[in-house]
Amino acid sequence: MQEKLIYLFSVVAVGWLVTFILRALPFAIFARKANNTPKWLPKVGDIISPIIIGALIVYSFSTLKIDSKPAWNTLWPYIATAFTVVLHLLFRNSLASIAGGTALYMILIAFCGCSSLPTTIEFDARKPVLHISEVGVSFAGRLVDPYKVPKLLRKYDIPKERTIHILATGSLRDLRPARQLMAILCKAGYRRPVIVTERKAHSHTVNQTPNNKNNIRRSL
Amino acid sequence: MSRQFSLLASKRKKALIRRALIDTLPVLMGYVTMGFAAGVLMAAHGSVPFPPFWAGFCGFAFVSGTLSFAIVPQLALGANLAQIALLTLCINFRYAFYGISMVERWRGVSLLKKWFLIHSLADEIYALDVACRIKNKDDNNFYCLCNHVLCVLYWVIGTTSGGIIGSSLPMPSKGIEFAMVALFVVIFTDQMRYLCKKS
Repeated sequence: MQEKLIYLFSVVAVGWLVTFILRALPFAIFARKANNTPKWLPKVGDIISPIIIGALIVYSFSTLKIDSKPAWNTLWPYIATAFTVVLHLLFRNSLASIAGGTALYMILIAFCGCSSLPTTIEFDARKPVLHISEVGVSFAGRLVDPYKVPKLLRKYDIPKERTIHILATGSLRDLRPARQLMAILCKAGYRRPVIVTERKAHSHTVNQTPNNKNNIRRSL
Repeated sequence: MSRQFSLLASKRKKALIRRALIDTLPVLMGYVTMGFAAGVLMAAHGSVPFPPFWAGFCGFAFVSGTLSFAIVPQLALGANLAQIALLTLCINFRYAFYGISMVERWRGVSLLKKWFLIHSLADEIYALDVACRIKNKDDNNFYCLCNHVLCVLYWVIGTTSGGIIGSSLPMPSKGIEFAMVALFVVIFTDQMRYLCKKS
């Protein structure tokens, strides 16, 4: 818990520091020279900020978790974006545009067969699906409630006798949350949870059967 | 004589505060809902990871909607501090250009006030500062300060309530991450319109 808090606070500190330095930069550069700011600088600012925002739009598109299974699913963000632009050009109210676009997107992915979880997961001992770090438990890259992990495993048809690897990241010295997750899994009938650190595996049940394939793709 | 003058000044200050209150109304609506969305987003990423007050604290530290949204998935992945610094640099690079038009205006503001003004130089607040054209320099700076204090207040209220209510209420949060994309799209549209008008 304490390590998690320290991590969160240091993230905020870094974010604040970088942001503040960026904001203070022109004030530091032009501190002494009164009326000496070059005329071209504001113009550069005018041009460079839409470029940055455009790059940010592309970046944030890539972070959206969408299944590409039915091909039309990848259309939803574009439709929602177009809707946002139209709303904004019509009403010029940022709040209404953001709320409207987001609502449309949420409706589209809720009712048009998109799920934010992947349809297939790679169940591989070298790349464990379960990952436990300072911020919590994540399943296939998404943070989840540890108590919901057995439900998710059932959803992907993972047999109860399979060894389930839980990757604990390096800086995590306190293994209590990992043990708690193991207890939850054992209670739900998954008898072979194994905590894996980057160096070696701490295991209580090291009797993996040889005919167990290392890499099985299971679909929903 | 001096007393009369100070009376006049306080009256003028009240008028400026009233004007700032009216001018920041759209920002109030936007910030409270956007802050609320940021808070809910943080709360939606797992049940335990973020203490409820954290969203508000984060909001006060950054005063940057984009960063508040973008940092959540990074935290969920357990990104290291160098990655966070790089992400912040990329996302907030535009702020380095906002100050340029404020350097001359805010010359002579006392250090603490100036630090706060710089700390809270975010998109919407900057737009408000640029839009106001009060000739008297002191009045202008006081008005800017009012704007900044009010907007930061709205932002903190929004994120805190979003963090607390969002973590205790089961809400349909699937797809809420699109709010960040929508925010960028809205800012981009505004900037394009501004550029088109100018040229």
